[in-house]
Amino acid sequence: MRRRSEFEQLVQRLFEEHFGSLFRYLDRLSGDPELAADIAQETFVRLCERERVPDDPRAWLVTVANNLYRDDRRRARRRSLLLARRPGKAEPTSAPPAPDAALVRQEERAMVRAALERLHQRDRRLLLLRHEGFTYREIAQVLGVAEASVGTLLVRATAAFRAAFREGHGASE
Amino acid sequence: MHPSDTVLAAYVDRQLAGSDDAAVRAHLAECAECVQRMRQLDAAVREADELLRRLDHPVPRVDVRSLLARDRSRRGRRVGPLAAGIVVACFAAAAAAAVPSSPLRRALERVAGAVGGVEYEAPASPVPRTTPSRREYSGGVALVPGRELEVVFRRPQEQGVIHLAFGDEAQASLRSPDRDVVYAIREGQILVDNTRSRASYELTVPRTLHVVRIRVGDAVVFRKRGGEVTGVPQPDSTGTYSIPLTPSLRRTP
Repeated sequence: MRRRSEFEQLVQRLFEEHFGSLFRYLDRLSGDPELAADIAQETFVRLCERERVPDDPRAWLVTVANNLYRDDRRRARRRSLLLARRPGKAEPTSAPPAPDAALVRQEERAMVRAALERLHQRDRRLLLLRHEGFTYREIAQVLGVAEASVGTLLVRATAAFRAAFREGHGASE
Repeated sequence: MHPSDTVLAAYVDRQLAGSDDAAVRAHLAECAECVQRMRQLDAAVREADELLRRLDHPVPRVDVRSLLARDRSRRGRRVGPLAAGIVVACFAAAAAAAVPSSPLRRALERVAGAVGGVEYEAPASPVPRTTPSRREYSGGVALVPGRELEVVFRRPQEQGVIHLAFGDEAQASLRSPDRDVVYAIREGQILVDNTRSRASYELTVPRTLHVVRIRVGDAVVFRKRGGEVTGVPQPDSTGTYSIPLTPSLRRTP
């Protein structure tokens, strides 16, 4: 009982330290803040299920979150196929148009998202992990790449991201 | 010797080990060309960082105690069926051992002989059937339908049943313990990709709906129009219909 209570205190501390960063990583990865919040919370519930803190908690959390996100994307693809197979009435339309400032922000966000989507999935995650302050060792552990190659991969991913953004930004003007 | 872009990038990211970091710093103190390269790499990282910030949404407020409570709730549900399963296994083993020629009985007799002739007695009562007192659901979907609702399962299953009940709530809901089942909603339709599933489902539908139709693949397995129901046997004493998802279905007219 006491051990469980100590474990829960550790979980609470890890939550305070890492939830915000995990949410931000998932939000940037998915572009869907509600999905990001769901996955981030489910990741911590999975941590509770372990009953002991992993050796490298931050790497563990983002690995589990990546797996949950991957599973969600698979389900989303199956859902799209399901809807495509059965013709039916159109879906209800979306929200009303945003005011100007919000529209500009939406457009900027869309351009950055488009640039990110043009990257290889691994490079996308590399960038996002680096910008969440993960070390090269943690990045290598999460993505299953050699630690010595992380620096090179990041240089290329950063260049590709900036180039993709400039291309998209130039095309829209 | 000039450090490579990779080394400079690691230096910018503060990922170099102590001695390597000191060596690069010493070189930069004397090499304007490498300082320029380092600044370009640094600017690239800062630009990427600024761009990524444009994607951000506010971090939601979440009370960690709700997550701990969710975990406790799941563990409680897992222990219930687990304990029930152990009880069933014990009774099943006892019943199997009670059969005079059963392999289990012979094994027990060998063990009894080895420990000095302990008598084994069969239980007096028959093996009880145990049903879970609570089901754990991994997923589901709900919607508020109009006058009609069609639920379409993509294909028949090797096993599994749809438990259909009519309720007084305005929303229809469908749920199952299988995490791999995918649901999609259209106006007046729930679509279910139940590929490889063997689960059963609980479907609750408003009793005020005029038309309710359930398809499994191309077969219509349940139809209600007004007060008339076709396609299935009578409901049980609670008013719940049990509709098999297995392939030996007859098409309803």
